[in-house]
Amino acid sequence: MSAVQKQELSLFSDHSVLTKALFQQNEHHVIYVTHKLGTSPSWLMNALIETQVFGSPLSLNESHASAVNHASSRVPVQRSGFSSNGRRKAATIASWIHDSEFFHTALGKLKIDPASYQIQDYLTDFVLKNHGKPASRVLKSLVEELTSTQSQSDLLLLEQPELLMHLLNVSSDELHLDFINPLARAVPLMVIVSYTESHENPGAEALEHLAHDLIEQIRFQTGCVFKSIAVLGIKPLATGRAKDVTGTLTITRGGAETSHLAIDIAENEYLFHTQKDTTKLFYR
Amino acid sequence: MSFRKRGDVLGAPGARRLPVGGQIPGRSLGPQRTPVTSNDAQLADRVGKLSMRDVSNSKTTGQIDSAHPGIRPSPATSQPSTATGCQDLDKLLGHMGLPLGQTLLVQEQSATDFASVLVKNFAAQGIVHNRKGGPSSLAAGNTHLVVLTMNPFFAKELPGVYQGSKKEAKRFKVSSAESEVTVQNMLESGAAVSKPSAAPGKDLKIAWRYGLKDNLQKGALARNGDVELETYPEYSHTFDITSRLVPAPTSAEITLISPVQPLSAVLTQLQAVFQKHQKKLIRILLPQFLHPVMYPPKYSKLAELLPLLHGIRSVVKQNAGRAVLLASISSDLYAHNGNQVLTMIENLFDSVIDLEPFPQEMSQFLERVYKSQPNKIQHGLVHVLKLPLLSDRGEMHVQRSEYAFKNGRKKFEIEAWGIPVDDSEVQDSKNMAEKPTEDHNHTKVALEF
Repeated sequence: MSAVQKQELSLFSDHSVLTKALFQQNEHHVIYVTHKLGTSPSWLMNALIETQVFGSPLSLNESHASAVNHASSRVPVQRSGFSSNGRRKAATIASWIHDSEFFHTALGKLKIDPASYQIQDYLTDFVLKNHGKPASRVLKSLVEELTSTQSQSDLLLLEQPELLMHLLNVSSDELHLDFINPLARAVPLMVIVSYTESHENPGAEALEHLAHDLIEQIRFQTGCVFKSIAVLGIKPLATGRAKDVTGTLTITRGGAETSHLAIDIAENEYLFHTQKDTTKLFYR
Repeated sequence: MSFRKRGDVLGAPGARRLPVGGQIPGRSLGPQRTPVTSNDAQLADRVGKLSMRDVSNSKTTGQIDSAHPGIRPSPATSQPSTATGCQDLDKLLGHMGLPLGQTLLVQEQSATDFASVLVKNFAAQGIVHNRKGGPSSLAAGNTHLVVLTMNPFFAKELPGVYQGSKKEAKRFKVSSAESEVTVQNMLESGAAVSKPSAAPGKDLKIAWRYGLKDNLQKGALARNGDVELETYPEYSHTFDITSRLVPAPTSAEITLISPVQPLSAVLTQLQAVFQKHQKKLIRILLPQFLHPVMYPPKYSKLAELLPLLHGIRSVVKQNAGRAVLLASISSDLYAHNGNQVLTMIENLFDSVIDLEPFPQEMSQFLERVYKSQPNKIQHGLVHVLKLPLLSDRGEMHVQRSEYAFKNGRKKFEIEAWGIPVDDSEVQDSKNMAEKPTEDHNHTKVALEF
């Protein structure tokens, strides 16, 4: 294992993870992250937030020990547009599957100051508060909540917003029109994280007669792919479990137009190994 | 220093949690007599002040008494975990139990009902923990069970603790009497220590020939297991599925909630349990989820099903310091539709295991192979799909067909799976090997093909 050279994560052709070109004025982009059973995307989400806070995913690129040692020297990147009234949050996380404690623990281990990000916890009491209410009103209030806090941050991370389809009983088109689109228009960069286990494994016998729910899921995910400039797919090895490899990270272009950007998506495939809170990337 | 009768047990029963190093039992009577919990509370207080980041965490876990018999730290992440009532499942989960605040789903293929053994053991384990304080503490208790089921007799169907054969019970009595810290026992052990030459292998120079070395090693191994048992003596129990837990748990120990009610009613009832039983570990059970006898057909729609699971998950995570959830589901009913329903359910659980009973041919094969050792016959495969905490961190823990289970009267065992060698086939291959020339010819022919 030690012979394998560690790689640094880069999504764009200028070897950056989140290039500055993304955050220019009046431009809005979506990045889509898909994951499957056995490969939770928490490390990648953490890396993106870390990039937004420190400028690069330090703990992913360095070894874990040195990352911790250098923690004191990590200075949050100064972003243009710091509001004069105080701290501007680097990122907002909205999750429908994990509570805020989950993110605080994970980001705390990376020595990210809790003041530099914000968490909207849509797991706790979401059903109790919103069950039975008209879906359009709930979606509207969600957008308002996220954009009002969002006016303070450049990166919005949505974890499993597709659950909203079933929690509020709306179709994928409604979800896209009333939720994803308004948010994408309000934020410089939005990252959507989806669980696509059923999408790619519909089951051979079911291919001819797909259930309504499944069609909606696939429709939602296809919509996300076409709206995003980059798609990051995480999945386990096709050969099953291995001791030194967790899975593959595939970076591809999405369906959205990128010609206005000066740089391209660096399409690539990495292997990665996650163990005890540290993730290493390497090539085959 | 006070005088004690020879047969009196020294120190409080809770003394096992006190640090052992460097204490002389005779002189440490004073500090031992003070209640252990206050010591722990002081310590927790100090620790809480030390770390700023984990304050909220320690707050939630601090709700439960740290001397709870059914909670121990996980060896993998040091999160507090609780026993599932099945030791092998505890090991399989990687934490020697189910970490608090985590949810576990047991799927089962085909029409068998092995999962109910796990469910009942999980329930019975909670009740046994609750009764550790003796009958007077029943109402006060340390654990409460919530079952989301429509079966009103669930409480009466729980298995009792395995008592062992009569011989074992007697042996246990003698050994427990010896292990008590009495003046007499200490005198005896002191006498044993003062004679160092009494080591059994000392005058046998060729000890290995007598197998003494092996015995010593075996003893060391057994002692390792004993250490676990000594540190957490009441952590996990063995249950006899042919017996019943007597007396059956009452409403003070168990709450039944029907899951087929308006969603808000289910969730408010669940939250009320948490409010009513402060400072208790709450074990939530969701047995036979989506079973068509209990659940009307509309529940197989994701729009009905997901809000219910999402709400329950939210309640568990809100009380992450003192709640665990175990659910079981028969997956065959929902295997069509491209597994969509199951995939979404799995998504909402922190850990998932899948039981796949062997088909008839495999069972017959195993019966033939293990003709002389019928207790070795496994009943099916265990697939691991997600492990608590570890999978959430991004580690890959999908292990298919690596473990097998067998269900017995006193134990639900999970062990590494390997297809056993059929003796009759071995005989055949031996016969082949005895005729090497012919064999050689055969391979030659095959190669030419």
